[in-house]
Amino acid sequence: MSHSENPFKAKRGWKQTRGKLGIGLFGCAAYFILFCAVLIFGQIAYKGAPSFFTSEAPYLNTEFFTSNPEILRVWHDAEGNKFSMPDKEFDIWRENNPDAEIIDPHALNYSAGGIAGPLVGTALLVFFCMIIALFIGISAAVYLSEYCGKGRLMTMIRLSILNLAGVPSIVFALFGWGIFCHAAPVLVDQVDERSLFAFAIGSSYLSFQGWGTSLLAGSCTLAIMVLPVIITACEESLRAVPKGFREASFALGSSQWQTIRKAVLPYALPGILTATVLGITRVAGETAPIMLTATSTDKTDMPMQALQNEGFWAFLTQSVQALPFHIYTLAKLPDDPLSKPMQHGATFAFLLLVMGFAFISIMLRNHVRKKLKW
Amino acid sequence: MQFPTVSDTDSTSKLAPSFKGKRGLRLMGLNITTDGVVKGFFGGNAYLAILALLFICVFLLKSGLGFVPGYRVELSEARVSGIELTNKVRYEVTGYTALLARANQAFIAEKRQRFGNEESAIYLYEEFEALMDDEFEDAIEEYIDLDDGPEKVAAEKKLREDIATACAEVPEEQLLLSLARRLPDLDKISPEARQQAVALAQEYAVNDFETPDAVDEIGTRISQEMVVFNTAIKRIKAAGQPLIELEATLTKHTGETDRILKLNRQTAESIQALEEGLIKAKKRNEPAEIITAIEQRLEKSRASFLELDTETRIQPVYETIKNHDAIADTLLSELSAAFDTLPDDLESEKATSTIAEARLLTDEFKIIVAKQKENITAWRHDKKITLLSTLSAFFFGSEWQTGSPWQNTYGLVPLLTGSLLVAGVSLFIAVPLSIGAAVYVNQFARPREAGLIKPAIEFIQAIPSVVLGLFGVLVLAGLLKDWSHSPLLSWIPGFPITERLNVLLAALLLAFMAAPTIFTLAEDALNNVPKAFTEASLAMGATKLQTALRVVLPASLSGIIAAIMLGFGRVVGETMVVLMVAGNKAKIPNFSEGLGVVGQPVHTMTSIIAQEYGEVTEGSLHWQALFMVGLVLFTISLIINSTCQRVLNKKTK
Repeated sequence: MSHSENPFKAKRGWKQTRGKLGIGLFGCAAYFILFCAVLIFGQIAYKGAPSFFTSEAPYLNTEFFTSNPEILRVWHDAEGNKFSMPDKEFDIWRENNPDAEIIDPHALNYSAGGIAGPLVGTALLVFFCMIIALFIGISAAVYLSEYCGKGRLMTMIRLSILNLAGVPSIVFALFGWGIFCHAAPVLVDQVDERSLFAFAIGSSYLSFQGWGTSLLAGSCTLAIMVLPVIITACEESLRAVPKGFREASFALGSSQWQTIRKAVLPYALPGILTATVLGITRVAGETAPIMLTATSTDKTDMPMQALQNEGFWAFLTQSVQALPFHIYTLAKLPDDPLSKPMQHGATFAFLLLVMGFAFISIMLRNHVRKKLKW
Repeated sequence: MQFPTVSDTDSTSKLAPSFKGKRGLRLMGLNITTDGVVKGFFGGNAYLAILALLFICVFLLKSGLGFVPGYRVELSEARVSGIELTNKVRYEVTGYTALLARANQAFIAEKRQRFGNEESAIYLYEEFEALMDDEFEDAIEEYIDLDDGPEKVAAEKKLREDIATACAEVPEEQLLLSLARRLPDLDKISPEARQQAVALAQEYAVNDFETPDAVDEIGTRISQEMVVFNTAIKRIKAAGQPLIELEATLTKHTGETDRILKLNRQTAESIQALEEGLIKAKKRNEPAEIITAIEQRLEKSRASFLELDTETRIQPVYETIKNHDAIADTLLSELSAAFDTLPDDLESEKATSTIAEARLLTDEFKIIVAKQKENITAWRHDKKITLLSTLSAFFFGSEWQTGSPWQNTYGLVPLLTGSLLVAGVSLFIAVPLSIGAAVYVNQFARPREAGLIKPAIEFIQAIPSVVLGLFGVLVLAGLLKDWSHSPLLSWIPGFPITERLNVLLAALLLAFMAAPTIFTLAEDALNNVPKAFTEASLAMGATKLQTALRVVLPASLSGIIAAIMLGFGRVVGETMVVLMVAGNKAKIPNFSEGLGVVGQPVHTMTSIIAQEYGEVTEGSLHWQALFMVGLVLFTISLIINSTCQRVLNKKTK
């Protein structure tokens, strides 16, 4: 028995080295992408985290999460001591120190306070959008997987959904801006000049004058945009329910609706939940649609105030602040070191929020796929 | 492995009707009706997808296509009034102004290089002079009133010393700030200049507020030394004067015509609306006073029509433009002559390069003028603007200019080139990386490793674009600009970068966004290659790398191309990153720099919508133009999507 003649032993030669090198090169590509991601994430976290925490108990900067964006007033006195404080505090301080000398005062927009308003606005937008999108999306998915055969219409619906998924968000934004903000029907007492047409219903008019830049317009635009994602994901989860469940239900004499309600939907629920989180991830990160349809820069009060003062319809048709748009506004601020904490803090908060939802959706999906094997 | 999910539901739906049919016969009652309603409800929601797509199509088409007739009217008005012709002349004037600016820049650079110190001394002195007037007035007057003698000599010495210390105390930043108006980008005041200025100021004080002769002498000397350059500049300035005057005359005349035309159009529109209202009111038998009110308004509108005979209005324009050729010829010969008088080797490097550049530009300018001359001669005000020429004015127009006082131009080319340039560069970066990563994960990585990399890259997809945009503005823009000046990286096209926000910056961020999309789809495509291919290749003795590159990759090529196309679609449709970091300059980038074009700022189709939506009024031509751009984007995305879906579907079959 010769000790050196193992024919299956790995060979060492130029060809093998070259192979290893090639593989290494491909590996580099994969790890380079991840490296960039870590770099960007790390940079934002490193700069943003200081806005989150304070050096004293409770160590969390509650003001950052509970107050609205404010103007930061900056000045220095005769000795060159630099001062900066939020607008409201400044008024109080000024009353207490009426003789204090103020040299070279200037105001930095959005550089003080917190991100409460934008956070609430984003939450409301996502909430209403998901209500609309889930209602339509789940129904459509049920139809596609339970009722619809494999006909021509089915192919058309499928094609539409796929195409809808690829339309750029700015086109949705433009569409929503034209339809919801400028042409949607609304019940009014007095028809506005820019109304497309109007007809009387009782004492008031149904006027196609649009909802303006509003929470409702933004939610509807986002809902249409996220519909393909929701329909596709829900349909996948409905199809994953084994046909035996349906057959057993039919065999017991239940109608199709009963079957769907009792034997299909409950088992597809985890999948639908995944679809929801996936949708939230997609919607929360979008900027262009809400920029055109829902947000305005001069909005400063909390959206809830309209609900208390003017009722639900006014609440829905008010413009809101939203975190992504707030970040866009912050990015346009003039370069000043005092604006940086807000810029980085808001970005980090937003990134954490969206990535959190993305993380949950990936986890959920893997969990559902692993667990629901019938 | 694929489970036959589709056939599963097929058998269900085949089974269900047979049950339903029997029961339907038996009961004929509520059950079936409920099911029908439920089915109708679900179905209606499903058709909403088609409806939404159709609705978007129709809405964009309706809003966008209204643009074409509207733009046609505007273009016709511009032609009839002669604004179109004026724009041609104005185009020449812009070219000439750019040349003049170059010459001036070179002049300033040269002057700074040769007489920088003397010049700053003079200006500094003027600053100090103001200081004398403010603070030393009394001291100086006291000194002047003294009688000659040793006392006065001592006083003079003291005064001079005081002035020197006072001048030395003025902080340099403050001086720089006041000098910035006359000597831009001066960053340091040389001690000699300062000394000289102080000496001059002392002279001024001692001589009873009289400007020392030395100041004038320096000024004269500088202008004498620079006389060649100065004459050249004066010559260039004088040469351009007739053309500028021609443009001004034309602008005044044609602008007035255009204004009247626009007013009349508005009047016509309101007359039409009033007439319709009148008919409606009469039909509804409204009270007489309302009808008379409408009739009165109608009369008033009809009376406010302005008399305008375009034929006679245009004659002076033709008369004026006759001189154009002669003016242009003189301008060109004067320009060349003026630049020829300048010496080739100037003292300042910057001036030399600027002049060289200006000479090149002059040659370009000659070609432009020659072309414009032809255009202007061929121009007729009564040539009709056809639908086709309106469409080509939009799709092939090389200028997108809004908010101009004369006439807005909506040309798609700058936006389209911007979009394609950004997308092209970003795919150039993203494709190798993401395909490489996909091959690695699918072919070489251990299952565990792949299980980590795959979700991590998918995770990147969720990073919101506005966050990347902010990262680009705050961090990467500065870094990129710094790096671009390092000699190690000078081989990269476009380096060093002068603009902070540019194509390359946007492309880098977009590449990072497109990479996960391409990666995921390409990985799927690689996954769809039958295992037998790989096994057969390995059995033949091929290495893993050979198998991957020669067997698996070619087999999945169509899927990978689809992945790249979808990545392209994603990049072209991305808004926020481009809006924030691409520079937003609606101008066709200058491709004469070759690959260096990546260092320039651009505007894209997506960012123009996001930037200008706020400034348009509902239903205006500008509003419609934005929808037209949206329509183009929508069409591009539909074409890419449907093509890719076809490719991908074929593959899975």
